[in-house]
Amino acid sequence: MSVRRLAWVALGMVATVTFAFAVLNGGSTPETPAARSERLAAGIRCPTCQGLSAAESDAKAASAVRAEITRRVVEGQSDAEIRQALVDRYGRGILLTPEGQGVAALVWAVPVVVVVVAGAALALRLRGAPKVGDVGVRSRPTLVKRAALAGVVIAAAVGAGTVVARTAGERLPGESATGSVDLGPAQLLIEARRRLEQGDAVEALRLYDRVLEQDRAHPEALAYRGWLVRLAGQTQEGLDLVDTAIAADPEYADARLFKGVMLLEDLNQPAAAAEELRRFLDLAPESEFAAQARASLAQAEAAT
Amino acid sequence: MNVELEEVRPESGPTAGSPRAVRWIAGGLAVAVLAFVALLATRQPAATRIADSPLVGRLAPEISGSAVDGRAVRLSGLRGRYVVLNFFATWCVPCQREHPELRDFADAADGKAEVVAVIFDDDPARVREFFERRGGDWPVLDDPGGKVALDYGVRGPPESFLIAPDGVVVSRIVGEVTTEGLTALVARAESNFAST
Repeated sequence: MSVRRLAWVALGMVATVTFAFAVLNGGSTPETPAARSERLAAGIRCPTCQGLSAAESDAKAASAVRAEITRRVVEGQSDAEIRQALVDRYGRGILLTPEGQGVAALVWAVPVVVVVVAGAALALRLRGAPKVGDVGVRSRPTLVKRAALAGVVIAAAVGAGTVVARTAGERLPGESATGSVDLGPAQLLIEARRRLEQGDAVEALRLYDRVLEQDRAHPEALAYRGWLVRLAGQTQEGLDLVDTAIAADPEYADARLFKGVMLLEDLNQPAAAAEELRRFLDLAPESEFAAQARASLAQAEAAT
Repeated sequence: MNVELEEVRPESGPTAGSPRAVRWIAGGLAVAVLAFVALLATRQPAATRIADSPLVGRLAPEISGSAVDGRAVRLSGLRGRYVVLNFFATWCVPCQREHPELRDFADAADGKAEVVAVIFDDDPARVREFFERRGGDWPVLDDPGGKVALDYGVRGPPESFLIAPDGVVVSRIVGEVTTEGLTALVARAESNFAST
């Protein structure tokens, strides 16, 4: 046996032993129920969030998923049973890792098939290539034909990718691209509210913009975008957006509050501000912002 | 020179590495890609308002508890009538828009169908105020832990489920419902139900 062949055999043995050791060693540590719940939750999509697992998100729906997983872990159900229980409610889209079954199996199979076919094509091509000493003259028409063929294949691949992106995935009405990337307005708004509560105004603004891309007259997205723009110092632009929100839905309370505060604090129009604040309190007397609105209303009435 | 060329590139069939073989492989790949695209493109588009749900065709998960106005509600107790189970929140603008539609549907159903609402991530006090201001007298259940929403695989409000008189889920509707749409769904379900 040559030295080179011996080296390949040694390399193969080292790789096999290392892999076997990693597999056996990885399975020997007992997993606590909490760690198991956490691991399972990490593989489940948060139902209402954008690109987060149920383990990462603090959304209420993610918390419900975690509680359900823990309950089933405590009951002694297997990983497969727990995942299946969630799939039975939400569908396969709830799994962050695609399964190797049905149409989802294509996600795993297609890249493997492409690599194998491409490798085979390359091997065939190299086998048939002119060897040293051959006269490697190729006529111009053959090159042109090959270039045209390559162009057709690339165009078909780009077209296919575009069509797949527009048709595949878990989506909600009105959405045009793949699900976990493009969410519906309801889910985007939930995420935007969460971001606002965390003080991440930039991300919230981006999410409101995405809602408006899908529905240009969405009152909540318009009003909150207007409020965030105003906080960034652009009062007039903010007011215009809030006015658009009111035009879209005169009964959307938060838009009235935002307009009232802008009129009072930025534009020194206490009478008009008081009118908007009263309207807000009529529409949403038990709002979490009601106390703030009453204080602003008292201030506006004192100034008129 | 011409004689040597013919020796390198014989013209007899698609031998390995010949341009014809490469063409066949590329053509095969293109056909495979097109078949893949056709498979995905012919699946039901997700933009439809009637969305897929693993629950469709199965018995609706049981819901029981007290509504926000105090009355007792049990979903299985409504067998014999169609039930529109509506997940909503007062902060959700599409839910606000669909509310009058649900109200009209409930009025027109005249006992043939019932509406039951489940609060999705909202404050029951705010919900009570919402119903006082905008009308609607159907039972509204609170879902503080999100368990009911999880049982129905709800991803965000508004989402509604049409449940047949035998307690089986007929449809899942993602987004706003309309009186006309719900009435048509019930009519279609009735004809299917009668034919089975």
